[in-house]
Amino acid sequence: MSAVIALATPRRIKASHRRRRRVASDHLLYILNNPLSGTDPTGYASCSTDASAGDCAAAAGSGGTAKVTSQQAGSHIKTTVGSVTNNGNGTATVTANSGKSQGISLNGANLGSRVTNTFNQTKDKISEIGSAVKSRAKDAFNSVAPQSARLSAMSDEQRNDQDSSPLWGAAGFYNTGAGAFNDVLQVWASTVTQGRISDNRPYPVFDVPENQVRSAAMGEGILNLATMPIAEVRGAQGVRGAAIAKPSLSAHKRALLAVQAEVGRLPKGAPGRFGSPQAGTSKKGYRLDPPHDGVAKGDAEAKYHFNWWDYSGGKRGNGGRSGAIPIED
Amino acid sequence: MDQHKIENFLKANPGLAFPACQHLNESQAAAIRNAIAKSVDSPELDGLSIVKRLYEISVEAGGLQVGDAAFSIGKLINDLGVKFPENVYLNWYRFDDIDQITLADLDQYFSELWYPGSDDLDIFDDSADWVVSITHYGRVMLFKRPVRQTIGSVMG
Repeated sequence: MSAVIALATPRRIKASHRRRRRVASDHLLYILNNPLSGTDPTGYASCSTDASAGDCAAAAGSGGTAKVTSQQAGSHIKTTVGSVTNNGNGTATVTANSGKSQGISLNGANLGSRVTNTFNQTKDKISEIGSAVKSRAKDAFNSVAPQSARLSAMSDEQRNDQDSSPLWGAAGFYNTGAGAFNDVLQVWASTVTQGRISDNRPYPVFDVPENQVRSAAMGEGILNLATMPIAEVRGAQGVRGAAIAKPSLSAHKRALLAVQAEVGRLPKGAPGRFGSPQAGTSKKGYRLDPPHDGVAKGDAEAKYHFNWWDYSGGKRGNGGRSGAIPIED
Repeated sequence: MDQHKIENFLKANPGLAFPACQHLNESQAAAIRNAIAKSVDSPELDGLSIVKRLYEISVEAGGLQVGDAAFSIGKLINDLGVKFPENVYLNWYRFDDIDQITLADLDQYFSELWYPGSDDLDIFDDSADWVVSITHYGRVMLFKRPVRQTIGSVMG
């Protein structure tokens, strides 16, 4: 709209500008080079790729849409590369036509290519981190494969007596990653694909937090695992456990003696709820446990350990006692 | 409920009755187990698989520990944004050792019911839509059945 007004306003024109103006006026051929005699037959306001999105939005007017056109130097042919819609609330939506996004400018920056590049960079980043996760999972599989095979060959009862916790840690990893991955896809779906902008969030794709991208990468890495043979996936579940080396038998014996010094030697009881070997009862007993998540690094619960308890004299702090003894070489 | 917990409670609180607590029979526990298996989308219906699955998909309650001053079962459940239940179930093992108790009693006497070291406890209600888990070392975990939003719905 502003371009039309500029052409209709008489002013002194330099010779160098006259040549440019002759070319520029060709796009008004549909109206016989007389812009004041009628209206644009498409019904759209228009602006060029040299304009800012703000100018385009202003040209479109509140609630209106302006075509964004591009013209190669020396060419008379104009190509519509997208549109800018003035949302009427201080924001605008820039929509790039498929495959023609390179020409749309936003305040001097190339929005189309910037969004496209960022999208690709993000995808590359996710792919890169996802590959790393996948690689680590494979390494973990290789390290726990013998244990996995041994457990597979056992009956359920035998298996319950084994420390199988490293083999079920990564299923949660999978779910967490997959959920985060889905979340990021939703962010992309609702912002990047439309190149939506506003005064407050000019480049929404940059607002995707790093941790979400990282989580998404984890998700992709683990989603890739889903296509692995089942044996590999089971092996990969050892990611968490594989990070902490299992202590030696002599370390187990030392820790067990310390436990028995607290509660005495007790007969074998029912397995713990997750299958860990347990002695005694819920009143007085002990249990061999693997390292747990969410525990401070130095805590016994963060290592292979024995939990012990004796509540025959009352609850804890009132005659009852409990504790955890790390198993360390 | 373990007999030694009842005895310890009565010894520590003379004149006070142990909170009303109903132990579920085998068929009641089986019905609960199936409901939880469905809620957590467990591919297997045995108790061990379900507790493992629940542990895998639960998330930490913002680092909250049982011993923290801010810890309150009632507040936790309230913060989940679910319908506040009158009664809750307590799973002590693999959904085959379940008690029912009022949430008010659980909130008031939690330290008399959950014993560190020996008890991994799951708390939930009839809906089976959420579970608050307390590990034997006091870590608080939450599960709430997700409402899945698909890409298609975002794209409209």
